[in-house]
Amino acid sequence: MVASTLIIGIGNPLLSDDRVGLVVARTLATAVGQIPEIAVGELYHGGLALMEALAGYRRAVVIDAMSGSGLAAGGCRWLDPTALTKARHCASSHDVDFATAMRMAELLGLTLPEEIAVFGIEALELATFGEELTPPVAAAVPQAVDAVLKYLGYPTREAA
Amino acid sequence: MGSRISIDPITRLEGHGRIEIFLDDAGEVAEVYFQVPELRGFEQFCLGRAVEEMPLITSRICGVCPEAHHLAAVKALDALFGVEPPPAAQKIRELLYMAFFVTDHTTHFYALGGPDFIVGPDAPPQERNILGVARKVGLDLAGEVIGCRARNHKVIAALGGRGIHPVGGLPGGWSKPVTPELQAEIVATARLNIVFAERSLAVFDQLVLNNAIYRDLLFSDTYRHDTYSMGTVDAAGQPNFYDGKIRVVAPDGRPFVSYPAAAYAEHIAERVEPWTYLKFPYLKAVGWQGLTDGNASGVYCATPLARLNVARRMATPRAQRHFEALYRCFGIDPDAENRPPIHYRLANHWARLIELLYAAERMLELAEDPELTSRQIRLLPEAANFRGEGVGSVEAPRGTLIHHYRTDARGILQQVNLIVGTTNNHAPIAMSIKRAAQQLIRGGQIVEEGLLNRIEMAFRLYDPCLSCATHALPGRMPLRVVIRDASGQSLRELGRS
Repeated sequence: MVASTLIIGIGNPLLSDDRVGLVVARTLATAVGQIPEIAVGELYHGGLALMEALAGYRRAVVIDAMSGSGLAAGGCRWLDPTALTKARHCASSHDVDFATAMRMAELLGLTLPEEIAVFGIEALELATFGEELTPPVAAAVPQAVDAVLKYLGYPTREAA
Repeated sequence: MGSRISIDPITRLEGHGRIEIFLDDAGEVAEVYFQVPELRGFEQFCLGRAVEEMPLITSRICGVCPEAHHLAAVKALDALFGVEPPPAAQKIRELLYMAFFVTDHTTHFYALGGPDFIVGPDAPPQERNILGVARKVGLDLAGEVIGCRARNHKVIAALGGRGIHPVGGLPGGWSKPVTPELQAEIVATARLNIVFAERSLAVFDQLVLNNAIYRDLLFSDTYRHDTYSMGTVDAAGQPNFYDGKIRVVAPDGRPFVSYPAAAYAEHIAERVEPWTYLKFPYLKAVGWQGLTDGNASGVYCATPLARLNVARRMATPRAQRHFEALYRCFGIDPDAENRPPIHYRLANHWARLIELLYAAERMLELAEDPELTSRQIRLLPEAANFRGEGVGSVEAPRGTLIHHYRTDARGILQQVNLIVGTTNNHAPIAMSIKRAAQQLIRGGQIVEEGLLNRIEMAFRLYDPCLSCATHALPGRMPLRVVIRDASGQSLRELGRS
């Protein structure tokens, strides 16, 4: 059976809180990775690569660090992908921003998911090399995992 | 004479790139400062680790060019451990690297640099992207861009051992041999790459060279700077992105110096300026004269155009034909002794496509080599040959990349120095931005329309990789441009917010 749902964490594992998307995705992989209709992936930059990763799935959850949302470090929020013209992680100076990549896919007739949800976790430290999440961001990981599980209709770890 | 403004260089930019343009009392552009967010602590992060980790660590610095870092790191390890990989391993490494170059240059041209030309610098921002390109060149070509990425990513994953970051490199060789089946697949991919590269050059010819406005732009002084050029060439003076000697040519075309990567510190120094943490590498033997052009200024450029400028010819036939056409277009005899370089920086976009074609042809050569499937792909380092220090260098798409490591006797890192591709171009980027600003800001009159984009064009042609690793939401590499009068007061702020 081909997976219809993609959970994808985006981040740089060497830049402290920039790895939070990857950490959440990996934790989700242990929770639901065995379910045939779910695929879990990781990506280190977005734009075209993100669009290519999403192609062919019916629904997708993208998880990433965010900065400047107004929330305190560790604060979480669902973001509307259509409002994401400024997805920095979904963009690089070498690439296209996420919204453009999506429109490109439409133009080319590539099948993107009907449902794309973006989950952001406010980061504290993004500019210093390190392999650890800062404490407030690390503390947000279980909550983020549960939020995604709930969104997808799976039991959260508390409930399970 | 405007008053001297001091700028706090450590101001945290919250992920924005910033360009500050200072006008003098006459309203002319006096100085331009450009700054991007700083990433801190890389050396501390590495010190104390086993040096064998570096090919995996450094490939994660940059989500866009992990292959470049992986190979430079592996080559530094070869040197540090005193081991020379067997020929088949070198070929596998170079083959993977050519597949990567094809995807990277393709993405840059169609998604980033190309839109400036193909759609036009004055088109609205929402058109000046890969969508606008798709609409202009046709959907089937746009689909080929995606197809090119897909088939080459597949090759890289198969050769490199993992999709996102390559892990196949080891000191003394490569970890995984190539099977005949994989070889056949790579040959097919390389052939498609050549067709695609030729098609892209045809698009450039059709939409840029045959368009009077763009031709003017290409030859315009707005984007011209006469600096030294740097690139890596093989023994025949042909560009090779994986290995060779680093060659530098003067602005007037005289050969300046040629050296093995291991000697880089004898030739390159880094200038520190008080207004930015960004360092400016320059040629020691020439000296630092500031952000200026000319033979007396140690500023040099390491870009696709620079790589062609330092080359006698291309190593592959199709790329060679286009190489000749490029120089002839600028009125230069491609075979001339001490051939004058092309200094019109927008020609980088054309040079990038010629490199794309070379990478595709080279990929086919390597893929068809019977030695590729050899199982002799690793030589184990021997303790007696351990040197404890090594430099590895490759040409990254954005410029000459250098990794330099020093360890103790156990191979634990004591010192790390990286010069990434874009670092070579910090000075040229600043100069190009200033020149673009000078064209559009005169006597205090700011021509706003298109200003931001012309400045960004000056920046984009270098395909810069600046703090490329920090990309949390939100904000598309926002570049804020602040124009200030002679007293430092902000007159106008432009930017993609």
